[in-house]
Amino acid sequence: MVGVKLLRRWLVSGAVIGSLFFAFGCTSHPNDNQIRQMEETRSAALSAEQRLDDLTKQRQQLESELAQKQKELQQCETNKADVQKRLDNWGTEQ
Amino acid sequence: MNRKLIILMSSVLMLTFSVGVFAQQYSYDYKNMKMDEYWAELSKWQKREADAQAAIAEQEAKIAQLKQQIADADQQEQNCWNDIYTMLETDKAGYDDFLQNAKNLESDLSSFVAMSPEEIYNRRNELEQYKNRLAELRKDKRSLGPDPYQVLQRVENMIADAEQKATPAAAGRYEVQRGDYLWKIAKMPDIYGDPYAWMRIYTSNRDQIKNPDLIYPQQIFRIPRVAGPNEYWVERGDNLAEIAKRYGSPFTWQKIYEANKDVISDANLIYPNMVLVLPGQ
Repeated sequence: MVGVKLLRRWLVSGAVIGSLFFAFGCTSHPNDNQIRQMEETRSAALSAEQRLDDLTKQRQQLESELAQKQKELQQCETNKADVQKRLDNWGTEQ
Repeated sequence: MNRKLIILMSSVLMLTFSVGVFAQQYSYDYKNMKMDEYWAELSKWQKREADAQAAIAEQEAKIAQLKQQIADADQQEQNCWNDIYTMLETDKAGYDDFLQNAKNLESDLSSFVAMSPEEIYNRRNELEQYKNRLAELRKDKRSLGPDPYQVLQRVENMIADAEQKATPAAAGRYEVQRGDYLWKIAKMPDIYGDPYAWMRIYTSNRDQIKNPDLIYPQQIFRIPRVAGPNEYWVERGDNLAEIAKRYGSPFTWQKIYEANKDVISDANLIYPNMVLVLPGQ
């Protein structure tokens, strides 16, 4: 009789402790290190995306700068041809 | 006792568990995240970072390539300009110096062209000087450079404009045709373009016109554009005393009146556009 009571008490205590463990500890949540890792990864990703945005803008700016330079170069070549024509005429005019 | 305790403990545990589950489902707090959610979230951020890093590498490569292309274009443009300088037998400093001279001429001329036709006409010697300066610059090969060439073209146009502008200011002559009358002559665009200026023709040609209502074909009238040294052109609001005051004393108005008696019938009545002779000037 005493053995049955003792067994029941052990079973109840085990159930209570098991339930408490399940409720508060057994549902696995990230620990501090994992949270820190998550924060660092998130921060690095956002930072990389920001840098990518900046680089994209810089590339667009350089593309327009290159277009402008090529236009200037083309203008210079046209000017050079015009100067040559004027020089040819200038020789005869002078 | 035991049964009551078990029921109580079970209720507390169920309540606690259900609150925990609810909190985990709707919270973005990493602490309350389930591990599978955590790993999914971590994987998502790691993928975003990896994607961004790959794109960064790609962009950096493109940027380096663009910078190289810009440097090449710069160099080619510089070479092109050097070719132009060589063709013009100069260098950048010489070219810039010449361009500055051309711009100075343009600047001087722009204020000159802004003057009235009479002023331009009176200062036509300056216009000649500008033409000489332009001719001097044109002798230099650098004038064929792209920028100086454009500036000098503008200068040439400005000189032509100034000459055109000053043409009406040159004193002209007009031969009276049948049917003409002073009002009609003054109204002609190449005379004054203003019929009220008939008085100017009349008073400038008083030796030929005794009566402004009577002019004759083949008469040749002087068409003045600017007041002569001994003349005064009456403007609205003038009176003889005022004019006399400008040229000495207001009390000498009688002298002006006497000198212009043939066109002034009443000393208190003078009209705009009259050309008065100033005695003793």
